[in-house]
Amino acid sequence: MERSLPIKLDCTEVFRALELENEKPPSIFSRIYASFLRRAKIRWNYKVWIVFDFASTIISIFTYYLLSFIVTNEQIVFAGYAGTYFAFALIGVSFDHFISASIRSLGRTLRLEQYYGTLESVVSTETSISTVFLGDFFYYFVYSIIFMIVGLSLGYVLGAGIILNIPIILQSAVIIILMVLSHLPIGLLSAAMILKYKQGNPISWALTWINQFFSGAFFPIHLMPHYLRVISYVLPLTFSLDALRRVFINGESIFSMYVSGDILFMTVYSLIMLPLAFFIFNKMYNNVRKEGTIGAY
Amino acid sequence: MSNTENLLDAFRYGRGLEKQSLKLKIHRVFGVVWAQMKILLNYKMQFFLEVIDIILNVLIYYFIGFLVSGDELAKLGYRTSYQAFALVGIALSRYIWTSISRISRRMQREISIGTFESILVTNTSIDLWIIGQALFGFLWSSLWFVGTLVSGILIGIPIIITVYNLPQIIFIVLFSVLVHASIGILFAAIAILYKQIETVLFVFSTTIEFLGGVVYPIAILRKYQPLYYLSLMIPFTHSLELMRKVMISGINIWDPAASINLIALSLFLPLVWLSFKVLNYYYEEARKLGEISSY
Repeated sequence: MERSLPIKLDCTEVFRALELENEKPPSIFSRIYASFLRRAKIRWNYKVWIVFDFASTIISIFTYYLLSFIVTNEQIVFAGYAGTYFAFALIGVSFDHFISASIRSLGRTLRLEQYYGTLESVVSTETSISTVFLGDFFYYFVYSIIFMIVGLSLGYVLGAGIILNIPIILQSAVIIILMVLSHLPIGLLSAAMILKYKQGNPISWALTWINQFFSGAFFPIHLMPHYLRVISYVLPLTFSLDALRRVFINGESIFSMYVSGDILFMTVYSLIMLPLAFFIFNKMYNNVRKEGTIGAY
Repeated sequence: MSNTENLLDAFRYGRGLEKQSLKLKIHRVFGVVWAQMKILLNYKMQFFLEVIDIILNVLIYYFIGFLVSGDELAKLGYRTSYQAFALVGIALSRYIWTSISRISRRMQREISIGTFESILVTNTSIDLWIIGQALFGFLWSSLWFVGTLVSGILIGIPIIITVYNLPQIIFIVLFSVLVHASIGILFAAIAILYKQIETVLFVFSTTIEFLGGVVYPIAILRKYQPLYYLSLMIPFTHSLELMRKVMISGINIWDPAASINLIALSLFLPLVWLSFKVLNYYYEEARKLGEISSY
């Protein structure tokens, strides 16, 4: 029996609607939706890859679960979290896909379009590249949410001791949105580099890695020497993870002192960095368009 | 004999594989190694990023080590720091992973850029090409193995490397690579016909790391008996245990506590012979179907 998608993936209706609306140009939302469906359809062709992606995260969660048997909780408590090392690591693993979606998805999309020679076709349509990106990014965001649900549920079943209820989930949504917004500038800059230099995105891969290391995805940052910790305090992920851990492990509200401080940092960071990153990306995009090298590989 | 078989035999005879001297074969194997070295030197950024990857991996478990209870680790049979325990795990797993993935990845790459068929129509047999790739992979991953250990030693992780146990460490590495290269060749064989195996390789390496106890002692798995026995059935578990006993506990390789892992690892040796058989089978199948270069 042929398996069907949990979401309706019929783009034809959307495109037909666009054709029929000759007099009125299609709204930006229908364009974003079409781009979202396009990415979902492409990715859904690689079902084995999706299964293995989930398997790898599940194995990773089990690894931290087993590791937690030999870990003492003193340092975790000292860092301000009233839980186990497993709960601490679980948050790092479960929200990992949001970070790679923010930092790497735009670059990945751009690189694939360059590689297959379809980038020029995409940008020569009426739909702007930002709209295409937004649709793509929305797909990766939804994909990350599914990962988060799987990760947190598995951790909950294994006894991580995280708090899962409606108020906590609603509050975490605010933090997740800010986390994604504060990481998008890095993704935009990485995409701009790919547009200009036509290279794959190993740099965004390295940035993701370095970001996770310094932000305490795997261990509390106070274990690092102070000269390394300086780097941690300028990375938005440090504050995102701290807020998420305080909410899911301690049950703190987003209005509590520490979490609101984290939220303030992410907001200020996004307000400064997002316009700057958009400006640089647009400048780079217009440059390659003028040079006529947008489709060059 | 079918027409296809006759045609293949004619080509095989024409290529004169049977007449190649040992000296020529060795020369060709080193030709493959040299070609790979030249390709590698063109990717300096990739090299730099791999160095960062190694350093970060070592540092992550160095800091996690501050969270681990020494008493709990000792109860599970390791009277050492967790940092040393994890360092040996990371170094060896990376080493083995490189030897497993190297051949099939390279083969997939040659197929995807359309040069695999060109290689095969030369006078160099596929076996020599595979041996050359394996040798390059071995040299390359040896550098990373040493690099990981040196990074650990530089930040003060206590591992035992003496004149006495160094030959034993080298022996374990060589023996482990030999056993695990056979798994790599099996994957390469599958890649000839089924092409896309990148994701399978990735999950395979993650599973091996999980069951092999790279970052936690496999004794923990005794709570989950099926997983524990599964972990004993993979060669990597025994390679890693053997290496930890020599490099952390300072046990002699011939000591009964270590030799049991050596014997277990030896049981996987027939895989080497089997892997070449499977490779040749898939290779001939792909040639008959004319699918060697299809991607």
